[in-house]
This record gives sequence, C-alpha cells and structure tokens, in this order.
Amino acid sequence: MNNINKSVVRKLLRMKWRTLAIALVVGLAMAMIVSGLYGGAVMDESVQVFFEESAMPDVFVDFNVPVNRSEVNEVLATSGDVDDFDSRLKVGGTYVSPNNESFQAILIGMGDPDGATINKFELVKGEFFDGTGEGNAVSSMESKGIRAGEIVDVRVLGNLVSVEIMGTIRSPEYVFPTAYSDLALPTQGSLVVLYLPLEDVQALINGTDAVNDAIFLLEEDGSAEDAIDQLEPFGISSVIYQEDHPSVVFMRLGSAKIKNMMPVIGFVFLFIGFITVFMTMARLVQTDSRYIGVLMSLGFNRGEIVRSYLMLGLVITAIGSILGIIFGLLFTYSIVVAGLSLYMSITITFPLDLMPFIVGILFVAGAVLLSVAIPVSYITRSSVREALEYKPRGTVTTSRLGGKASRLTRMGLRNTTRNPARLAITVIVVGITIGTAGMWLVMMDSAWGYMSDQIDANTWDLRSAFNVPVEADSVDAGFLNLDPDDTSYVIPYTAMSAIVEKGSTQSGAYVYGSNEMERTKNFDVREGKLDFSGAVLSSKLADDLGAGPGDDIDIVVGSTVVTLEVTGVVQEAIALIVYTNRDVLAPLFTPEDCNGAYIQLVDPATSSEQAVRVREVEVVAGVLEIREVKASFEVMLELAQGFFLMFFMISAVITLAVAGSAVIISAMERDVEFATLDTLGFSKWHVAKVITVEMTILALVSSLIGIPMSFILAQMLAESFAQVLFEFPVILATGAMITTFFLGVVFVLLSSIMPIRYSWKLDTEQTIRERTAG
Amino acid sequence: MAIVDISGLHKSYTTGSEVTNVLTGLDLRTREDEMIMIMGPSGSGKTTLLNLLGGIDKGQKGSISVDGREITGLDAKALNEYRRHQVGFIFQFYNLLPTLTARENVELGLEMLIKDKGELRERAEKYLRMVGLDDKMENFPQELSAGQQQRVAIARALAKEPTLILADEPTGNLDEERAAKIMVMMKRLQHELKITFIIVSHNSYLKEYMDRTLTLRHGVLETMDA
Ligand SMILES: Nc1ncnc2c1ncn2[C@@H]1O[C@H](COP(=O)(O)OP(=O)(O)OP(=O)(O)O)[C@@H](O)[C@H]1O
Ligand SMILES: [Mg+2]
Repeated sequence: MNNINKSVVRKLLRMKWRTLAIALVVGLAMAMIVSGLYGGAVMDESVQVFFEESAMPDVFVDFNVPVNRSEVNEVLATSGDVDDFDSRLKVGGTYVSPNNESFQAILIGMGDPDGATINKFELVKGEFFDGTGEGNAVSSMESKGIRAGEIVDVRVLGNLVSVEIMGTIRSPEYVFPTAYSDLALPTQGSLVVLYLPLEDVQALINGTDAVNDAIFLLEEDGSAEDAIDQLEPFGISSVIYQEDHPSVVFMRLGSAKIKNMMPVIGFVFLFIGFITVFMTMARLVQTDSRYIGVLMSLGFNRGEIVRSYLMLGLVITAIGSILGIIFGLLFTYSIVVAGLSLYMSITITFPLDLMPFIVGILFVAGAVLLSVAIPVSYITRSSVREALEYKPRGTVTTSRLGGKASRLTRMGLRNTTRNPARLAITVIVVGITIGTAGMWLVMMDSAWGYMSDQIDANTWDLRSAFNVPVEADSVDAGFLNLDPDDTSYVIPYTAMSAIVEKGSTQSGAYVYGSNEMERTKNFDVREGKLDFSGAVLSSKLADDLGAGPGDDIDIVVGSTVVTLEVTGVVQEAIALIVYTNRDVLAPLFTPEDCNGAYIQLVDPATSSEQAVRVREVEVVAGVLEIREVKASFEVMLELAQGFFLMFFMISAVITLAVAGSAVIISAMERDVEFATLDTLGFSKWHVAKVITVEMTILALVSSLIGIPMSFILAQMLAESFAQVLFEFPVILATGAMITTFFLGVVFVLLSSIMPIRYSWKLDTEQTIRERTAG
Repeated sequence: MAIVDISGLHKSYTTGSEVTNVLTGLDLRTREDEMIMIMGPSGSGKTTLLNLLGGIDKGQKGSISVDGREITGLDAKALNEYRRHQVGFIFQFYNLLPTLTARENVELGLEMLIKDKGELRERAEKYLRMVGLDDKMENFPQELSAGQQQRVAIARALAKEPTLILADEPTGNLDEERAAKIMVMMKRLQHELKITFIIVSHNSYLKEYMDRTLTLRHGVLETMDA
C-alpha cells in the first residue's frame, strides 16, 4: 500500500468507533433493503416448495349437490388433462368448545390420509386416522380443545357427531384455517377443519358413495378448462384455481408486503446513512485540508488525493456491507418467521439469490462514495495555499447564552450554537432518525385504530349463515330462536363467492346482497353513492379492478354471469366485496331466498349467549360474533406488534449511532479545548457535564423534530402498504407522540457516551503537541 | 544560467475592503546552486514570496521563471508537475502527516518520483540519517519533539533532491549546534546535487553559510549591507 493510502487507513483505524458507527448505519440500511428484496424471495421460495411438496391441488371444484363418487372418479381418471386427483365430501357444522364458545366447523370425508398423493398432510402431532370415528384436525385450534387425543363433538345438521382426534396436521388447502375469508385477512383460531373417513361423512347426509368436491393436479400440458368442462355435467357451484386459493393468495400477499415495505424503510435509512457519512467525511476532510494542501505541495494531483479518500469510503462500504449481509440475513429470517407464523409455520427455504445482496451493496457503495467524493473534491478544488492555510478549529459563532448558569453549563450551552449550520443538519438528521423509530409506533397506533373503527362500523352483533336457502320473509327473530324483544333488527342477506371482472381484469370477491344493506354498516362512501340497485364496491376491490362509478362489472359464479353497474365505492380496509340488492342477484340465487342474516341485539353484551341460541337452529351453519372478529384481529395485531417493536428497536440503535457520530465530530474539533480544560485542572466529570448540557439540547430539539417526522414517514410507509394490502389513514396519537419524544431524548442522551468517552481518552500532552506545533 | 528569475512581482491581499500590498515589484535572480537567505520583519511577505515561487499561490503581476520555465501562467496540472519534480518545501509549520511515521512522511514526498519500493525506503532512510533521526524513523510526529519534527520536514524536502528548495524558518526549533550540522549538510548537497536554496530565517548566525543574504522590506528585496 502506498503511503497516502496508508495515511488514510490509519486515520480510519484511529476513529474506529466512529467508523463502526457509520458502517453500522449504512449496514443496517443495506440490511433493510436486502431483507426486503430477499425476504420476499425467501417467502416465495418457501411457499413454492411447501406447495410443491404437499402437492397443493391445481384446481378445486365444488359441486352444487352431492354426486356419485365413482362417476366423478371415472371422469377424472380417464381425463388426459388430470394427473393426481381426489374427490371428497364436505359438510359444515358447529363446534362448541369446553368453555362454551362456538366455532364454525368443516368436516371433510376422504380416503386414506397416509397414502394421499394430492393435498398431502404433514403430521404436527399424533398419527393419521385409520378407522371409523377417528379424524385429523388442522392444527391451530389446540387452545380451543381441538387436540390430538381429544374426542370432540361437532353439530352437523342438527346431529351431534363425535370424532376422536388421532392427530393434528398441516393441510395445504387450509394453511389459513379461517372462518371469515370475506374479511380477507387470515384470522386464526376461528375455524375447525376435520378430515374423517369418507364413509363417516357420507353417513351424516345419508348419501351412499356421495362426494361434493373434487381436487386435482394437472398433467404437464393439461388444460384446466378442459378438465372442468368434463366435470360440468355434475353441476359445478364453484371453481378455484390454485393461484386464487386463499392459501396461495395470502402467502403471496405476505411476500409482496415485505418486498414493498422493507426497501422503503431501507431507503430512508440509506438517506440517513448518506447524510451521516457526508457530515463525518466533510468534517474529516476539512480537518485534513492542511494535509491535503501538503500533498498537493508535494506534487500529488487531485485524482490521487480523491482516490485515497475514496479508499476510506470503500473501507466503510466493506464493513457496512459485511454488517449488511449479516443483519440482512438475520432480518430476513426473523421477518419470514414472523410473517409465516402470523399465518402458519412452514419450513423456511433460503433460495440462492445474490441479487438482493448485490443491489444492497451497490446502493451502500454509491451512497458512501458519493458522500466522500463531494467534500474531498471540494477541498482539492481550492488552491493549495487556501488548503494549507485552513485552520481546523475554524470560526466559531459566539453567543452569550446561559448568563446566570454555572460556567460549565454556559460553556455547554454556547458550544451548542457555535456552528449553527451543523447544528441544524444534526438535529434534522437525528430528528429523521428518531422519526423512523417513532414511525413504527404511529403505524401501530393508526392501523390498530383504523381496524377497530372498521369493525365498529358494522352495526350487527351476529351474522349467521344457513346451510340451505331459506325464504327471506320467514327470517326473523323467532326463526332464529331469539326473543324479538332482544333484537333490534334481523336482516336477511344472500352471500356468495364469485369472480368479479371488469374488462380483462378480474378478482375473486364476496358478493353480499341485501335489501337493507345500508342498515348493516355505517358505510364510508369514497366515490359515487350508496345505491344498492347497482354494485357498491369495497375500495380494495375497486382499486384492484380499476373500477369506479359508471363502470360495468361482471359477477361470475360457475357459468352464470350477472352484469352490474358500479354505483359507489366504500372505504373498506382489506376485503374484496360487492354490496348490492338481493333482487339483482336473481340469476345467481332465487330472489325470494336468502342464505344468512345480520342480527343486531338490544344488548350487545349478550352476544355469546344469543349466538348459542341461534346455533341451535337446524339450518344455521355458523354464527359469527363481531366480538370474535375483533378478538382475532387483536391477536393478529399483537403478533404484528412484536414485528413493529423489533424495527422500532433497530431504528433506536440507528438513532444512537447517528447521534453519536454526529456529535463526536464536534467533540473532535474541540480536542485542544478539552486538553486545555484538563491543564486548567478540571476533572473529566466536568468535561462530561459540558458535553451533556450540549447533548441535552440536541436531544430535546431533535426529538421534537422527530414527532412530525414519524408522522410523515409513517404516511410514506402506509402508502406503500396500501399498494399491497390496504390503506389506512395515519393518525398521530398523543401516546405515540409522547413515546417517540421520550425515547428520542433517552437514546440521544445515551449516545453522549461517544463524545464523553472521546474526551476522557484524549491524551492532553499529545493533543497539545500535535495541534499547536503542526 | 539563472535558476530563479523573478521580475516585477506584485502580490496583494484583499480582505473585505482593505488591500494589503505585500510584494510591490520584487526582483530576484539566482545563480545555479546558490544558497540565499531572506530576512525581514514579521509580516513583510517572506512566506508569501516562497508560496509564489513554489506555485502554490499566484501573484497579480510580474514573472517568475524557474530553470528557464515561466511558471506564472501554468495551469493547475502543470504546476503540480512542477512541484513534483523541481521544488522541495520546508514549511514554517512542519506540516507532517500525523498518521504517517517519520519514514513514511519522507517516502510520501518521493512516491511520485521513485517507483521501486526498496529504493524508496533506502532514500528516505538515508536522509533521515543525515538529519540525525536514525533512531526515530518509525515514530509518529506526535511522538517527536518540535525540533525532530522540523528535521523530518527537512529530510522530506531534501530527499526529493529537487532543483529548488524553499525553506521557511527551517531551523526555528533547532539549537545552534544542530542547526549548524544541518546547514553543513545542506551546503554539501547544494554543491553535490546542484540545488538552489532559498531560506527564510531570522537567525543571523545562518548568514555564514549563505552565498547571499537579502532583506524583504516594503515589498522588495534589498541587499544586506554587512
Ligand atoms: N490569506 C491572506 N489574506 C490576507 N492577508 C494575508 C493573507 N496571508 C498573508 N496575509 C498578509 O500578508 C502579509 C505577509 O504575510 P507573510 O505570511 O508572507 O509574512 P511573513 O513575512 O512570512 O511573516 P512571518 O515572519 O511572521 O512568518 C501579512 O501582513 C499578512 O497579514
Ligand atoms: Mg512566514
């Protein structure tokens, strides 16, 4: 190594803590970018591998009514398009837990689970069922009494069925066992899924050799359409392709979320890193300007000098990149684990994908080198004499702050303002950093508040679904086994899942038809009006389809199509829903009938007891309590909270590093002052006091700036969030504000350890010799 | 042939509305390998003159030619070349790089001239020995006394073996005995390597080593009358 580079590298080693702090900031920024890009890839890959290994069906077909199994199998076996297949019988029921909560249950009758070649199970606990009266439960309801070794009772069509749970399993078609798929978020712990011997389920409906569901994998060049056509004669009620299946959609949503959100955060940190490196380098180069002058007087040219300082940047980039890779992998792992555990743990597969790391390193290198090159080129542009004449201690803006305070406090106060421009940059950068920490709290608060509001907008307390179509006029409190005095309203509705198309764009959605729709919810109209003679779309669906008032949409169920004009769009957090009148759904469903009812109770506190009564009605398949929906959202948000807190902590550490490396710059140029204080007989605690006074002011001001920053950044994050999941208004709540401010102050004050440590370690003799002689 | 040929050199500084005329039509001609001392009161413009000669500052009027080459009109790149090959600076404040050892500081000045590592090191050590720093070569500037730092700075300039050495108070921190030794050495190099020295100093005892002594006063050089 030549001497000029050697000189620069040694300089770096001298300020190893500062170098490390800077490298940490850029490293963490890179880690965010990496974990965003790579986390998405890991999630995609894990999901891919999981679905492949478990032979997730390519197509799920439901039949209108139970049909003959042998005939279905015959068609599937002879079809040239179909590879592996199975046909099963599904019935709905209700499970009442030991503490008397009731849950929707799905019983699926099938052949031998051990030898399955499609929709393969993975045993979580226990063993596979092997005879009548036995069954396997999808893991996730253990806390509600659905455990291996238990005997559970499920009410199906008015009868009580006892099933011995031989083991709990993971099933690809129920990765997210949720009863409320129309809520578009997997709310765990709400659905009981049981797999039983086919004959046991057939016995429940008195259907010999009956099935109502077919699943299959396609041949290499098989056509799904052709295969479905062949099944058409059996009467198909719904078809779900693998890519539209909730398991797949939610998984993809998870990875898309990570891919979108993480880089946004990464770039914010990269920006902070850029400014931190820039400030440090600008200061370093300024201090070095005399030496740069010497180099120029020795005949070194500009390029060589700039290059030697770029080396410094390269070292920072290298350390930053190593930290970035380590933290990137760590973040990726925890994000994916958190992401998947939000749903269901599957094995995590790390694909060999270097792109995210290369992109991360390039960004870091670019930011660091630029922030080094700018100040160095600036100095080398000035004349040699100017460079040589530069006095490192520069001019100081003096003030007479703190008139009555002690001498040391006064000194600290005045030090704060001795370089107003740098003070401004420092408080802004530290403020932004505090903002990135506060952002998570704001996000958390806003998401929580908004979700609660969304759920509270519903006016019903119970929503019941029926097994069979029921004449709408007959649905009232009495029909539902309720006392009319206990109910405020009973509103029948018709619900179905459908494909909604606008032109060539399509989306899966839930269609709700009711003649009193506007009473069931306090709709928040975004566009158009609440006119249910047409289609009122949830905002998420409208955005996905690119549809607005005046557009025509097609609602496709099986082979039937209903075309409706969009009349309005309502704010709806996440769900893909079409709200309309029962009548306009006529071609899809007999208009006189309904398949569910919304119930508003006089006393919402009694919803659990009333739900039990409704479940006793024979045609009732399930009852959803709004209370339960709220509870499962809270469970999910609590999980998300852990995730947010992790990022809050990371941001806090970055705050420490940024604030520390910002203030140590000003401490370093005061080396002679510190040395002088020492020669005057001041103790190191006196010096610490001077620094602390200054840091306190910095902490207070930048934490104040941090509050609006957290709000602005949360809005940015929320925007990228909206593109993948849902949009919610960002609210700056007092709690988040105070916490952000308080933690900002604490973390900045903690970072004063860096300058204090510097002042304590300073060698008075050497400082005075080096700085006053040369 | 005149190595340094300055004629009608003007230099003034403007600070705000105030103009300081430092050099006002200064002339200077040196013979080859001449050793000249420039004296003069503080603030008279001695450092300024050296800076102009070394091409690290520009005057307003007049010409400076070194070794037959006019340097006042040169661009930054050419000035760089000029400094690299022809000039050795000994600064009033030594301007050593604090992160490099004594030896490395000397090598630094040679790096552009000598590519061979061994040779580079040999040359650096040779000159450090000449200034009496045999046992301090691997010390950092902050581990050296002011006089030792000054000697490193001298070695750095001499090691280049340039045409012209511009020295600003090179012996300011040295005792008479040490200064004398260094002057003897410089004197030898002056003749062996045909180096022209322009030395700024207040120390009149250096006069005996000089070929000529001039005084800078009122912006021009005056010959010292003994
Ligand atoms: N950058 C500058 N701007 C304004 N005035 C300057 C600048 N540099 C030098 N001067 C002025 O030019 C004059 C000559 O300065 P110079 O440094 O050449 O003096 P000197 O003879 O070397 O003095 P000393 O013996 O104290 O080193 C002084 O009056 C000084 O104040
Ligand atoms: Mg001077």
